[in-house]
Amino acid sequence: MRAACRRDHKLCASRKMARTADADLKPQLKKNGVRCRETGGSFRRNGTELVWDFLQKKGPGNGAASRQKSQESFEQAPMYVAVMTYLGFGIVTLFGYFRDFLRAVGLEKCHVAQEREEQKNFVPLYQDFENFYTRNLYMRVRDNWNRPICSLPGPVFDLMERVSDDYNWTFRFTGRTIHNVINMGSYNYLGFAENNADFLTTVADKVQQYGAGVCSTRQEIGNLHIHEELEELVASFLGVESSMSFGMGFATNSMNIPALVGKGCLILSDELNHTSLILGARLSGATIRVFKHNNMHSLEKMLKEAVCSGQPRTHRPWKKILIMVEGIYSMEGSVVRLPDIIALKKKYKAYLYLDEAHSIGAVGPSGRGVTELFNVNPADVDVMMGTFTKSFGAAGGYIAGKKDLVDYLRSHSHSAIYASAMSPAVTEQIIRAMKCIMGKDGSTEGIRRIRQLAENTKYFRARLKEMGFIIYGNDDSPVVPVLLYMPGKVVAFAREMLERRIGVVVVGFPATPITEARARFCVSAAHTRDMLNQVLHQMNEVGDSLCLKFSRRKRSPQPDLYEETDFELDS
Amino acid sequence: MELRRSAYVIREPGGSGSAWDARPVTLCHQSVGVQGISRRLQRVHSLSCRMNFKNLREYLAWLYYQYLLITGIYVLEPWEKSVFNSILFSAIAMVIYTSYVFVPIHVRLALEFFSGIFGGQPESTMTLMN
Repeated sequence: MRAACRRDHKLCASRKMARTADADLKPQLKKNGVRCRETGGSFRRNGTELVWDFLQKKGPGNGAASRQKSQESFEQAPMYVAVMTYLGFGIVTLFGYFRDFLRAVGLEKCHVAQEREEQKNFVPLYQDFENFYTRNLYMRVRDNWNRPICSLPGPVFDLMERVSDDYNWTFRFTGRTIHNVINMGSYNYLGFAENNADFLTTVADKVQQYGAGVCSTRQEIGNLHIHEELEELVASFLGVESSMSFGMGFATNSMNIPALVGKGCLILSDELNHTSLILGARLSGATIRVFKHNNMHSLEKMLKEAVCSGQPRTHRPWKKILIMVEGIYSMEGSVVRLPDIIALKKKYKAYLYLDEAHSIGAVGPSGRGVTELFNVNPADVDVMMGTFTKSFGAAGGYIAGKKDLVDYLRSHSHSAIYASAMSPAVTEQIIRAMKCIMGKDGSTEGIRRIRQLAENTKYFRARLKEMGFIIYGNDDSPVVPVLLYMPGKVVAFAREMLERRIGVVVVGFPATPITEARARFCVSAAHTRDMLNQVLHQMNEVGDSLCLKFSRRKRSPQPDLYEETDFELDS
Repeated sequence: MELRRSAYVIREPGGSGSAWDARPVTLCHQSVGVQGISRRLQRVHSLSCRMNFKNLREYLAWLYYQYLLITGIYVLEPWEKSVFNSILFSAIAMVIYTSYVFVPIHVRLALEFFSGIFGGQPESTMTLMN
């Protein structure tokens, strides 16, 4: 990199900051760690785990007394678990080939779409191999997904019982309902998925006033006063100048990133970003580079290289560098290292796009997301994006930031021009939920729910760790992935938990790496201690019955305060 | 599987001691080796002790269940399970048969071969000295 700079002397002369950045980096690298001066976060290898400790300011106070240590851990399972996982997948794949052979020969009826006899010599329409996994593994076990529910998806819900006569190719309903299944899968963090008529009177009034749908886009005649009210409220909630709301959370990302960046810009996106961010980045036409998950060293290396070398062939400077991260990553439960990223962004003059889909309303002492969790000035984050689907019990998304940015988006966003505006009922639900969280409706219900969620999260995570399960992610995140690894155990776990009236979401291969299948629990403020104990008790039994307790952690009665020891950096 | 239950039972947290002190002492991490295998067997044994099997039949059923889960056979249809089990069983039976029939003979021949080398030498030096 230095050599490249010397070659292109003219270009690098203006990039003084790259050289000073190098000099700054040296003392940090000597100690072989990623350390952020502001928060003192550091890596440490603790046996089989990689643990990231950082200091967070908890609470509105700012003294040393309110600092607490928070941990993020990604423990590795013993080697035999990986071997067994591959073995399981291998055997099922062999049987998949065998069944495909039987179908090809004609000994077995083929249930998937096939071409007609007359078209056999044409270019194949249905690519058989791509559907191999779906046909041969997913179909066998798909009774664990897409289960139809027939009540409100609150902390408990009712499921319709269904059985299959031909090994999950078709289902039929028996007519019975499974009542009061504890819901550990909904993103109902603050419990706003409720249908209590008292709470929803304002929503009913607005439907009377504005109607059910808008039937137009924001730029045409779909801009209602209630939308502007919502946007002002969101801006004051987040502590920024202005915000804009959109009808769909996924579309907020995929339609607005193309409006912000284009060709000649660079996007540095985290490894585990959500599909909406990836889609938006690809649609924009910018160059995309991926850095390792939550790894500041990898990000810094890429930033340095981008600033030094510029665009690929012409070596012109990039028009914009946008760092895209999420507040809480929903598959891992890990929290972004916001102070480190902001320090890097300021050093290298890049922009930050923060997707707070899961963290808004769910973390932070008053529910304002990761900026509050790390006590960071919201003005430091250039584009704050979030969704109303998870913590607010509604639908849609928002983008917030400086007034110039939001005004630009109002006229240039694809969603504003072409997508239908948010319906008034949904808007009012968000307004009421947000007022409840902020305390503007005159009650303490909002803050009670946030505290309840924090308490539930801490309790649930601590108990699961104590039992011996491998849990990923930050101690504060309400998303709890429990690692199951083997495909047989994933399926058996989902079925056993349903028999015990607990509904869980299990995730397998395409959405996660092949060796890390998991069950993802989403703790909610609406769960009572009783429900959590019930879930934990059943998990204990299922964990014993299926041998799921892989953790090799040494458990001490009290968490120790670790000094910075020597450790390895993954780069 | 008799291990499944269909009733919805709420347990009080204080009452069930087993829910709270869930695990025996965790063993420290070491590299995988012979020690790893014996520790795993120890852990399986301790797990099954904790699970209160009423009789041997239930224990064997649980072991079969673990075998189904680990090999991934659990997701297959019953006839596929039978096919895999019969192939595996016949492979193991052949291994056992071969080892039973041929291993003693080979071991005896090997011992004779090596004893021929070591046993022969001292004799020749003794005769020379005599």
